[in-house]
Amino acid sequence: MPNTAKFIQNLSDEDLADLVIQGDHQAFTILVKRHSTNFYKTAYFLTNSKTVSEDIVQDCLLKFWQFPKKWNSTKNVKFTTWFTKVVINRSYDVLKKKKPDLLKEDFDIKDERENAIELIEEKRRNHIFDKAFSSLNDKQKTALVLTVYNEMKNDESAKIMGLKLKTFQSLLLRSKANLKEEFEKLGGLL
Amino acid sequence: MKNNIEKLIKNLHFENHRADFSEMIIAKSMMITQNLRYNFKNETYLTIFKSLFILPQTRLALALLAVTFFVYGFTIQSNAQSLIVNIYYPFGDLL
Repeated sequence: MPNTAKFIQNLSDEDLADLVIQGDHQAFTILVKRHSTNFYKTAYFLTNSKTVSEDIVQDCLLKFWQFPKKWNSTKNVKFTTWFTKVVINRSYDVLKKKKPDLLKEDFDIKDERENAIELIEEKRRNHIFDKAFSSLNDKQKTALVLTVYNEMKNDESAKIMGLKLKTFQSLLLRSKANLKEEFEKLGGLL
Repeated sequence: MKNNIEKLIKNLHFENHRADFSEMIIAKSMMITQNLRYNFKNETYLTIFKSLFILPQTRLALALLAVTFFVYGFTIQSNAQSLIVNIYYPFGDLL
């Protein structure tokens, strides 16, 4: 039995997903433990809300458990690529219903440490950046989060977003340019 | 510029999910499994019952059963009548 557990732990995401189709709950448990945080981060940067992102990821994972046949291993797509796409689409649906709240004005907190001024300056800069990021449209945010935060390759990110590689690359460049412009407009310095 | 933006993206304000996030999803999936099994059981019994009732053989069997009960009941009634007649007949004249 312990050997079986070790064996299943070492399986790839795709093999685990195939086991989930056969109703293997242990395989599902491993997939959840491996990736739920990454999926949550992706949803968080799109919705800017902890509770909404938790609901989105939970909903998507439970749907996958209930209807695992939606995953098709024969399509030669990585499980994480497919599931990130599912999470992103669900996030877009939620965003269509409710506009995300911008960060509160009193987000900065007082810091009593020695290098407090530098820290406050850094926090102010990050805060402005958060605001600038929130002002981007959903596609631009997704492109940036996938490539920079999730460290995915351009071709994989393009696949997730259903775009051609060149289109995705130009979207990424545009997103960065818009982000920089918005950041500087709000008084941030790069 | 590129590196600065990427560094800032990595420093974006981020709130971590609740500590038992994964465990909660796993627990809910188990609950769903149990519920599905329960539904499956109920559905199975219902399906068997329905399919039995729809079958012509079942209907015929039920009809035969009904006829048997009717005949049996009628026989009991006849016997009872004859019993009453047999018991009370000797006194019939007295009554």
